[in-house]
Amino acid sequence: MPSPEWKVPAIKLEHICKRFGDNVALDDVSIDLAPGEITALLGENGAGKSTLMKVLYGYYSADSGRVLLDDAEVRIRSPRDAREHGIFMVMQSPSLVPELPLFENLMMFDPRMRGASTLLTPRSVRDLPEATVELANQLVPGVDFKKRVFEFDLPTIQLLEVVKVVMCEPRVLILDEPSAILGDHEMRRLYDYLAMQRAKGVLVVLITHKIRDVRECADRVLVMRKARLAAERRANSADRELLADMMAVNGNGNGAVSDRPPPSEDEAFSATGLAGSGWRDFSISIKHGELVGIAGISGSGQTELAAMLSGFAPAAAGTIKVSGERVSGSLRNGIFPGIGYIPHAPRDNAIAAALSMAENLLVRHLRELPPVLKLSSTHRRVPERLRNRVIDLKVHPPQLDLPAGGLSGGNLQKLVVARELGHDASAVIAVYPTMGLDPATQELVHNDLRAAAAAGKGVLLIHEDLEVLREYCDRILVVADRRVAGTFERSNANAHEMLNLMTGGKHAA
Amino acid sequence: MRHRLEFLVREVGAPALGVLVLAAIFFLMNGANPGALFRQMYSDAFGGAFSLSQTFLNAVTILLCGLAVSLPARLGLINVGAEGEMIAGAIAGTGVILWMPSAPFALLMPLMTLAAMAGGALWGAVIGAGRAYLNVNETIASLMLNFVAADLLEYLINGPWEAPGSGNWPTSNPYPPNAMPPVFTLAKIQVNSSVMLALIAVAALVFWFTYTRAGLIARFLLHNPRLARFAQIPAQRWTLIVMAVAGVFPALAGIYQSTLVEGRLQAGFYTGYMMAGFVAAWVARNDFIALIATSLLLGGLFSAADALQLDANLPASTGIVIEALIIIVALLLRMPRRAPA
Repeated sequence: MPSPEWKVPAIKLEHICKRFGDNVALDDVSIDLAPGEITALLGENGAGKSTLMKVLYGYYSADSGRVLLDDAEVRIRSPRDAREHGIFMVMQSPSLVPELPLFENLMMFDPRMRGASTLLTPRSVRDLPEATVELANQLVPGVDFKKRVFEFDLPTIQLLEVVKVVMCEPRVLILDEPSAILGDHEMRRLYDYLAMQRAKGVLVVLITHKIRDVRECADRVLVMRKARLAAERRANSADRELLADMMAVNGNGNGAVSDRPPPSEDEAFSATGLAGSGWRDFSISIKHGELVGIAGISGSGQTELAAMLSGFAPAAAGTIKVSGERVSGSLRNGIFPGIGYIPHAPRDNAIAAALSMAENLLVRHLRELPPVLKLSSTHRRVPERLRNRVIDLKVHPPQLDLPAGGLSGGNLQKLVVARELGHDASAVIAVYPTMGLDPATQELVHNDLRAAAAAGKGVLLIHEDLEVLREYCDRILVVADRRVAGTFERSNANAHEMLNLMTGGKHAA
Repeated sequence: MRHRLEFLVREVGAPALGVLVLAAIFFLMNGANPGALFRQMYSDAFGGAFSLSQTFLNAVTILLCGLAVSLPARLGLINVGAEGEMIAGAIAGTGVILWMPSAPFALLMPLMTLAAMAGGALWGAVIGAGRAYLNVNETIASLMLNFVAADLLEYLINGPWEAPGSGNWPTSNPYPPNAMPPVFTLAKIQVNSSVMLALIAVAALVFWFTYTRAGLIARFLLHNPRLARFAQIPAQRWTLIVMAVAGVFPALAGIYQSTLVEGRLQAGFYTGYMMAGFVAAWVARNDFIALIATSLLLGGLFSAADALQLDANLPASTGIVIEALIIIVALLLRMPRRAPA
């Protein structure tokens, strides 16, 4: 497989600086990366991890500093340059063509098909090189190459993005926060794959928030903080406490239910006989002050369910009430009144990247605006309370007149959380609200949701982490394959039994 | 300041230079002297009261057709139905005129204008309703409906509205003098009253998109319609209304073109304006103020093209060639610098 000139370079980044306008993204960062090592790059949202790696990948050009491969300075002007050097990066933004079948997507980029493939020659799955088929099956067992990409669920697409890159046999492989989307299951396969690559001598950089990623596969840990390199350790000598501390986590959550008042008797939100998107006859009732969780492996229909419950997407049947009042059925214009909704993939679903942060926030306060106002200064119209929430959640940068699209994934998530918890609503539906956030911010968001419940809102929390659900929720519904597999009160929330149900087992009780 | 200069160079200077160079090559290929021809074109377009009158007449029609593109574009909708809307306006206005040909000016003028506007609005509303409620692509629908409108026009002037004895080139009866929109003469330059209407429309649109909450709603709908769901904005109703409003502008142009230029309803009176309006809107990047400038330039080009045919023995389609050059240059300048990775 490896060609004779297969040689993995040692990489040095020296004194890299990068600014975006007034925002310093990288402030004199120098790192070394060695072949045959998996380096985990940790840091909170906006610390500069992705930016640093995008400089190496030629996606951004650094304002100053240099890149050395085997001690020789190179200029990497574009991702194409980087790939010439064997440097490949799996970005967070999707790059597969959703409307094309998987095999065509792969053929377009497969180096073994170079010259053999044009868009005009009809191709079938059988033309796909064996090595590629094998690789795809290793990361996504039993994958159907004829399926069009948009038909896969999000974690699978993310793994397929990895396949698309690694089939080019990178000598340097950069992965930008795969664990933000991938569940435990999928990450396990990725760890195995990365271990094999390490054995071959490949240099791997894994950008991550999760200390677990470090424990599972990293040899070395680099921690970034506020645009600078904060620490560097061998993975085995860096324990959890130290890493958490380096990433600026302040203490562990004490988010017990007990410090919230008990839920009231009045219903904040209910759905009866809801159907659509593969769900049939789903019912739920959430009291004011109650925090209800939904657990399930990804792709069990949670996101579709949340979209129907909130009114974001139409349901085929069912009645939805907010504070006892029926909101479904009438002519609807989007999300039901009285509901705060934090959807998954907020960049697509809840934000207009080209508009300012202020405009994105004002979406929820249109009716408070006068009919005539100066649109170039809408940032002065953001309610004080909401402005403070943005500051509390440490959205960075905090200038509300900047375009929302400039925010990093985590900060954008925080902006949506601030907005959706910051208006008068009886109920809040949150879908993976902490995905992609660093641990410190995760805790901020979890506490915010808890505070919303304490303040009398009914909260429905869909979360990928069973531990979080067990810590924060009064009640947990376990879903599998678009149906409720079991309901657990906080007192009897047995993790083993829940996991069993999530993966399709029968309810023991 | 530097930004503004850079903007002017990038958005105005470079494209203008590009078009001039390409047009010069085209003229040379046709054995004409580009320098002399450019001077000739300038004087035909802007060099005197008669040229300017002609240019303003063309420009206002182009401007109104351009508004029909720019307004929907500000909500992410693509309208190429200005031709159908011009025709719908002319038909509706003519209907009123033929119904009460001897009505006094003070009654006929407002009634025919309102009828024309209503006709265009209805035409636009059909397109908008398709988009909003039936998920019919508004671009395709608006384009196709142009042919429907043209056929409807043919039917009317060959059938119920045909003037007796109009022979091989059927038209309606000539409009009565009372149906002629007022034309003002300012410093020997003739300007008709649709200029006023167009400028009022531009001012209203600028106000809408700069100073109103509704302008903010339009931005939500443009940049991410899903965001509109958070604001509980009735996106479908907005689509319908905006497409209907957009139809009003070409309809005005339609009835003015019919009455002032042709004097009767006849086939083909609308030719060329929709495309020019589209180019004007596009080069102006859907900015309403910039659209006035681009419409004037294209209006001038129309005047010059007519004159070129007479003076320089070049085909009248020279204007279309130059319009095409404008599109090509604008396209080239807007190509992304580097393809995304």
